[in-house]
Amino acid sequence: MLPAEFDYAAPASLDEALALLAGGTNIRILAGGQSLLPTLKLRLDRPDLVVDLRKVPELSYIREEDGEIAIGALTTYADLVASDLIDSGVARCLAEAAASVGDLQVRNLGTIGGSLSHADPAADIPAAALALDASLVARSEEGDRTISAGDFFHGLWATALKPSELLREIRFRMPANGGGAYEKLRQAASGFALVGAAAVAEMDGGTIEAMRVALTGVSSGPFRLHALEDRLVGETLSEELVREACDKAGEAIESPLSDAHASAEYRVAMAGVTARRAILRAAGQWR
Amino acid sequence: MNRTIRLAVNGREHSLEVEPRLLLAHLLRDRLDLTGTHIGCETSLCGACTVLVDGRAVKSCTLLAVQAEGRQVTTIEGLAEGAGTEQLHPLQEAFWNEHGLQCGFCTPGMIMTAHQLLEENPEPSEDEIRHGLEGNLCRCTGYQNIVRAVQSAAAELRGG
Repeated sequence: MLPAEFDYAAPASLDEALALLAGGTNIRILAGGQSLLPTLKLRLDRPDLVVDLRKVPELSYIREEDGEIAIGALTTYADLVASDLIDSGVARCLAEAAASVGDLQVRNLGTIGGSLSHADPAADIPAAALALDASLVARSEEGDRTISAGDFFHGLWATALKPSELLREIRFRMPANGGGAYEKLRQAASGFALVGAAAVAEMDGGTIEAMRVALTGVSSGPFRLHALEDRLVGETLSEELVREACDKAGEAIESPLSDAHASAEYRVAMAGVTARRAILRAAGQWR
Repeated sequence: MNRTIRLAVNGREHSLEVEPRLLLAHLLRDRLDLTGTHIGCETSLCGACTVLVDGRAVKSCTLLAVQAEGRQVTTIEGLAEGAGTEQLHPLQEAFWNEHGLQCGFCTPGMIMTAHQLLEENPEPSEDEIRHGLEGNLCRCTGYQNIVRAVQSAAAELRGG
């Protein structure tokens, strides 16, 4: 099964890649290729040019800088899973989301920047980015533009990125009193989320200081459960509180997805269950 | 426009002219006659086409040949010590001894994925093996003997 013909470029620097993006239309960026290749092979997409980032050296890293974590867009899921830094505090929701993606082979190639830019409505990483309130740094020939995760996702496979822009970095705060978790019900065949919930909690002893919860897989894109978050902030953490707050969480889903894998009713019911599990584990790390 | 790429497959350097859209699986099978790498689902689900690129298991049907430029690719044919001899790799030996295959279609991919698994975790639990092999489907065995084969190879590789 071959993709349709395309031109191919493997620029050696970010600047060279950006010049290519600025100079044409119908261009696709190839990072790990674990979503792009299947799409090209099925000929759901026929780009004129594929710009492969594999030779761009400065895009794969995980760094701690001034209480923030900075992750290069070409960092693979496997790199995230293997990182002790990502397996701690609030970042753990990202580690768990990355570990739940596809399978070993996909995690070896697929990248955090690729997942966010592709914005599949059932992808795991976007929910974690929302729960982390991450900043996504896009670069074009004009320079950097920082987009908050909350403004980044625009529905089915759509993002705030312009055609001339390339996502180059993901940043988020790493508070000392924070915990994170990702919970997911997998679609058995594909491994994508039927329902995925990412939670980040900041605790002051037993009191919930901050809480961010995001869902994926349940509608046209990932989104935060703001009403649920507001219900929990300032309260003393208990299982009863979280259970009660999550009971109706699924009702916040606008136009819940319904397909051969799960009905809308099921997704709505399970949204509350996965959210509860994620919240309790994220906050529980600090009990 | 075709490109010339250099890559090493099973330790041998190759320089090949390829179309950008050519998949690594087709390069291995059709250009290098390494037909041990199987193509099953063609949609990155079944794992039959798994090979190692720089030691990491990847699905060669979901990688362009040009993406492997400058890399070390290992296929099932390159796994045995002194390729071309009768001496099998402990994983190959274990799949044989433990009846880890029936039709054999999934076996090369299973073994390549298991190879990375054991490199990273020489003593995996049964759960870790099952989780590690999630990206490889077998429609014959029910996986029981595949798990046993990986456990047996792990013990052999540890010198047990």
